[in-house]
Amino acid sequence: MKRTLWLAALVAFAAARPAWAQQDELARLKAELANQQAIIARLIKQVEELEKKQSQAPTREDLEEEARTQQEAVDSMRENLLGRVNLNGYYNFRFSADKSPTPTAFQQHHLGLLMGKQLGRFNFLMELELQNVPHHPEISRGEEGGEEGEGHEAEARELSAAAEAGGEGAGADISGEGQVAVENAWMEYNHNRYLNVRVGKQLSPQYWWQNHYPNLTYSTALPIYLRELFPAELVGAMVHGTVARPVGTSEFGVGYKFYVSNNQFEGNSQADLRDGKSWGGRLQVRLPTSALLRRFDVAADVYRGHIALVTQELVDDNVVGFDSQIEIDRFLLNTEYARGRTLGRTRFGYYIQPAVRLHEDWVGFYRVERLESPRIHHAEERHLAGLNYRPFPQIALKGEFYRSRPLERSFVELGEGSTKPFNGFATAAVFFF
Amino acid sequence: MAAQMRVWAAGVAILPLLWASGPSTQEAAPPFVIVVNKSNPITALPLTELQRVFRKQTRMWRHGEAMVPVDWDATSEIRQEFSRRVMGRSVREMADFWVQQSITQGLAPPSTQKSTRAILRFVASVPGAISYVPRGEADESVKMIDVNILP
Repeated sequence: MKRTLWLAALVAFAAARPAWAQQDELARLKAELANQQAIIARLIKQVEELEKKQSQAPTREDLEEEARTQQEAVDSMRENLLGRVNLNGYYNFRFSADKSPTPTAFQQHHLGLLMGKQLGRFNFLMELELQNVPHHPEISRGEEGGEEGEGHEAEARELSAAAEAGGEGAGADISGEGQVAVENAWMEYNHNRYLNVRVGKQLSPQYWWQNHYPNLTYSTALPIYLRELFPAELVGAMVHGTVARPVGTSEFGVGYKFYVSNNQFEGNSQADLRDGKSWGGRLQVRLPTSALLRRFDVAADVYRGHIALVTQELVDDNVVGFDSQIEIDRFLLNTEYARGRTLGRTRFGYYIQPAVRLHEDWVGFYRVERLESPRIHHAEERHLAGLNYRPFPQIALKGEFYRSRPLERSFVELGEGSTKPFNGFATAAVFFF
Repeated sequence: MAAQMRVWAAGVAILPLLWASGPSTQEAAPPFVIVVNKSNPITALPLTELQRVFRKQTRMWRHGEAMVPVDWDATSEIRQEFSRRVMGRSVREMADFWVQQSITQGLAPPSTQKSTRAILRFVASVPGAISYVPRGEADESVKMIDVNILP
């Protein structure tokens, strides 16, 4: 009996043990189940997030549409850039003091506005210039020549007046109230590099006239011969082009300009006294350059036209000239020479201007120049030396000393003391915008 | 007149010396490549022609499209290198050149960008565009062209 009880107790104990284990197993299974449920929930959440992202991702069509939109924006910006008018200008304020008849003066010399536009092969440029100079040296000289011409031959008086009328200061107001003038107004068709046509009012093609702007020149004053030889501007039509052949890293180029224009007298844009027009041309050669020789240009100019006397009679005016621009490392050399003939009288003028680039912003220059002209009864030699400082490409500060020496010539009637050389100083500030 | 002739004679006399000291052809390859829009049929350009393009002295491609040169910002190193090697002038000297062109011809300088990405995007988008990017950074959106130095 006891054995039976002991066996029963053992069996009961053995049977009870699996129940405990089952509860443990159940608990573990429950825990595992909870864990798996959490994992499933997390995965479900991730799937939902991915589905959400996928619904927001751009399709191929969306990307293509975006690219087209960006292209249109670029095209629009390009059209705006190409279609805008280029507006530029310059302002020049000058002070000069010397012993000449021109008194010491501050001169609000030039205010110029330039507007340009390019449409395909067509180009347009207009320049308005305001001059407000109570005593302009060139005008004063012309007036003196006229006054001194009282005792001269009638044709000489007429030539003097005509020469002054044909110059850039034609009709200039010297009362100090200023003058507004259209210095350039032309349109141009660019067919190719060999052939271009420009019509309208334009500057003469000589080097200094093309680059006479105060922010491009080193000195404050123009060469004394400039207004007396070639006309400053022409109203007509010009064809121009270049032919160039590569030579190493440079090229050999030949450029030409040929123009037909009205003759040079006041009011010539409205009428000309006869059908004959003036004509002129320029041939320029650009020689190949090397590391040291950075520029070597030479050119020859010719002008054949007429100048009007005060009686409205036209007389022949023929001018020839040549110029060169040489740049070797930091050194520059500009030269021009011109010779004209009117009514059997020869006039000539030239300048030689070496310069050195002392620094990126500083240029030192010297210029010797001469003018001998029977038609305005003037002969002068002048020497200038100065500095040009450009803290920015658009700003120039200039200062120069000069010595002017009147020359004794048969066509010059010199008054008392007028043969004495005189010195002077000039300075200018120029702003280009 | 005599003085001017003497100046001319001196200039002519020293020319052979200056031309003899020409640029070395052994200079290392430039650190940039020239890129154009893919629709442009050209594959090579003489160096002198490339100079004319970036001086806006040539305005139309042979296939009739208007040239649109694009430069880098003036302060970038690649711009300084391009200006020295291709244009033969410093960036400052080119700025002086464009002041002169603006006032005498009414021309504006090429537009500028500040990064390779901007350059590539512009050239790829504008049919007549031409520019330059660092060597190795041109992608398939543009076409690279060779630049020849003709004898």
